[in-house]
Amino acid sequence: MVFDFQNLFNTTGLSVINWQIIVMLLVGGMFIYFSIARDMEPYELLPIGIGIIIGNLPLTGLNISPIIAGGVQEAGIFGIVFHYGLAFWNILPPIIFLGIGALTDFGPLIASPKTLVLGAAAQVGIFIAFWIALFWGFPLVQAASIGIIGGADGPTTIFLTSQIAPSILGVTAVIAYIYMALVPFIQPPLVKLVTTKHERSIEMKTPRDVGRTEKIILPLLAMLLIILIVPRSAPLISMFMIGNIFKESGVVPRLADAASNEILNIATVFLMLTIGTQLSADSVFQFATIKILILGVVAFGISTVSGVLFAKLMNLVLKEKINPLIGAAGVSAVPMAARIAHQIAQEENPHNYLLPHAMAPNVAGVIGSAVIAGVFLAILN
Amino acid sequence: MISVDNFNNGIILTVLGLLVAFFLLISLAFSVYIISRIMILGNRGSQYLSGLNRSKDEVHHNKSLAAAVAVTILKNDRSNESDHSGK
Repeated sequence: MVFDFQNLFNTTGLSVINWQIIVMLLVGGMFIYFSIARDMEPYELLPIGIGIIIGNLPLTGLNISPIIAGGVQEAGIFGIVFHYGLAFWNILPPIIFLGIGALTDFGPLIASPKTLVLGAAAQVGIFIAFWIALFWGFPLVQAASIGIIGGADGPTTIFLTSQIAPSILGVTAVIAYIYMALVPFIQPPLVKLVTTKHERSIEMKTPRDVGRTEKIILPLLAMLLIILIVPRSAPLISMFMIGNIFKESGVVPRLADAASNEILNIATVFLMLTIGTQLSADSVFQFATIKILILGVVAFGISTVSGVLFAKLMNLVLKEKINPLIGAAGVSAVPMAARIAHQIAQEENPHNYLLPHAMAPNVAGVIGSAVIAGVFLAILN
Repeated sequence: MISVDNFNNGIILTVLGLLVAFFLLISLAFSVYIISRIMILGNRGSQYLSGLNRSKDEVHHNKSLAAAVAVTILKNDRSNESDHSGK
């Protein structure tokens, strides 16, 4: 009878629980708290938090991959989603991009095409973090995945990491989303450090109205140009532009609605939950994770600063000055980074309406980070 | 310490990554600028042409109006003449 009780106890999670698992359960709880109580990136942090909790509960089998399972009905739901949605097919990030494309307005970018360059300038942090990671002893593929966090684009980070360094997917993805949620805390002090009050007060002319034809031509043109040069960025870029063409064409409102609502929401649910479940205690309690956490903020910070500095550089040659704050929006955390640039500008000058101007480099940043991910894939994979 | 292979690959990745990103976004910006100019000029051209058509229509309308007025005046004159002759 005593033996039976012991056996029963061994089938419960309590038999293998340890302090690392308890810490991870608390971390998951913190994510849930911040998403609900502080409204910080709730669409990402809430499912990630729940994912961390259920992913770390022992003996559930939820994370068992269909490859490892070996038998029918032995793989777990998150193992299946991770394998087919990310590691094997990698379809979830492109589906997210379809939805983001359907939500994106290229109008400000067409009205001020020079700001497109800021989307490239704000990717410099990717390479700085990449080099630091290399010198810190990370393998080349992992260094590239860590660097791409600086692009501040969750789906791009996941897309690249799941192909070249799947062992650090959970950590890099979660860190990317954490820093995206922390944009309001990371960017303002950095931006204020490298700009003067006068620069932050620069008012920009209201962008012109952009016609429907131009809005349809741009995604088609961008898709052709980018995919011809960097074919490996096609899964992200093509889906992004397809979503946008659905929206701008005006003839398929149901498709545009589906892409920006139902499809995006379903993909977000499974992607975020699965990412959370990948953040197991085994993978977190390593020195490498702390290094990635540091490198992520370095990448993100340098990307922000390089965008602002490039905008200042552009002002040396431009007749109509641009507000350098929009350079910080070149990191692709859409639309948070643009909103932050707008808020800082309004602190200096309440009449300064910078949001449409900041949206242009913000969208360009999405394209820029996807292009760099494509280059990494082409060379490393 | 970083290996020579990693260092070389790192250089390639950095140079190519930055080069391609800047090249693509600058080319895209330039293409968007050119297309915008063409669209703006096209809009202005079509506005000018529609203005031209409107002025042609106006001339035609004015001519018709003038002809109608002339006919009315002539008719009035004739009727006046006949009135005078009748008196």
